[in-house]
Amino acid sequence: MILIRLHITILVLALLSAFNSKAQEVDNSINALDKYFSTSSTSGQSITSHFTNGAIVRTITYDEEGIQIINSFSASAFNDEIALLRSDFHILQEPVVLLNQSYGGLQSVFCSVRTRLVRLDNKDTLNVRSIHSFQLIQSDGWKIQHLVIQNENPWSPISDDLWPKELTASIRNGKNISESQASEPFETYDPNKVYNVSEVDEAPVYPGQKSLFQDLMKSFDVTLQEDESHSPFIIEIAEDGLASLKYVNDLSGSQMESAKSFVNSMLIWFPAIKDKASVRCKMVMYIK
Amino acid sequence: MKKLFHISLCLIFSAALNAQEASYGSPQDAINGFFEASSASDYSVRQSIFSSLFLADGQINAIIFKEDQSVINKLGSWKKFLGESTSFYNSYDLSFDEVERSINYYEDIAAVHSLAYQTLTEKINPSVIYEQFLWYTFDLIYDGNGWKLTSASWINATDNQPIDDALTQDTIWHTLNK
Repeated sequence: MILIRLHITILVLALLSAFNSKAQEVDNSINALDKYFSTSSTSGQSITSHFTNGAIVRTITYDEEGIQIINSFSASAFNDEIALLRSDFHILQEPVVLLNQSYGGLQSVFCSVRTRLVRLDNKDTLNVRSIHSFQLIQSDGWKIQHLVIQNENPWSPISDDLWPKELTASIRNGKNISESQASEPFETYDPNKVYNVSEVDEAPVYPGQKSLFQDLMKSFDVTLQEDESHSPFIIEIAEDGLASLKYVNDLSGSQMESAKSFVNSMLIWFPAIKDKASVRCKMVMYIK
Repeated sequence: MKKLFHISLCLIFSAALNAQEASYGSPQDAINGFFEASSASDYSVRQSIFSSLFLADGQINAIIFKEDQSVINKLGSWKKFLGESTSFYNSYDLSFDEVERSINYYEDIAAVHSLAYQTLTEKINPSVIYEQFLWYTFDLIYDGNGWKLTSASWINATDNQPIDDALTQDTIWHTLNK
């Protein structure tokens, strides 16, 4: 009887030890990431000590027309980029949801990240969402060996799994709002108002791959950026995602016909969201 | 004879062009390509696939996990790996059986995890066979033409720690600052 009890005790201890060893391992590597985010958010501190010597950081961003830009940096070059940003902004960077896998001396973390940029001069705040994919190795503690960062593509919002409303309800994305405004409670939306893209919580999203909409714009010679050879017009995306042509006063007859065909060729959009409700939203575009 | 020479030149040029232009339409295709290259005993095949598979400065990190839980890191570029693994490939035939694969992705980036069973067969004595489990973690990006590997890292299993741990994904929510 005593033997059986001893056996069970040893088994429980062994199980506890195995559990603690896994928990400890996760805890340590996640602590390393916590320290990295904390350092990147602290003025005057260098992030290079969180990386291995040969580490590479890659960033994927998009210009205003949705064209992809890929950059590769060493840890020190990436640190210089952050230092440059710090000359205009106070940076607060923190992970939102971390998907962590590890074994022995190797760890992979795929996570959503919220970056808050507060302008040093007027305290205006810009919230940016991104996805970071880390590979960490054990080399005198956990160090980042490879990091890929992708800013959110406005045409393809980050999924709720990585940006859960329970955690992020108080964050607004991509808006220039002052700290005092940011702490105010949510406004309620006006169902009759047609909002600008900058006024909604989530901009309308065209369905499918972003190239689908880019190809459509290309075929009708439409851009999202103003230039001398293109004339502005406005489309409205209704609550049900249907697009319609609105302001066309600056267009010639043939441009108007082309803009009509452009809008009629569109699929049904995912409508803009404000205060968790679909709202009408207008977008300015330019046609040749 | 001269004609034959010109035809072979064209064929060589066309083969080189094809190797350069090979692109991978999905992260899954790219990972299949990686294991295909890793199993190839011919250096030129490995080189051809890796050069179309990796970004120019893509990384390969091999981590040796020892029974005493210590690690030895072999870090570097895929080009360095190709060069330094030549003698190893001269001595062994490699094959891989993937047991499980998982993927996390958003738009143009993907992180792929794979548990693979590696078999090494000595070339001079094929009855000598070594086997082990390896956990691979890959980072990929879509560069407009196809999916490219930016980093491939792997670590071997030890008897002391179940390799299944690697496949258990912890989801951690971070409490945000106001």
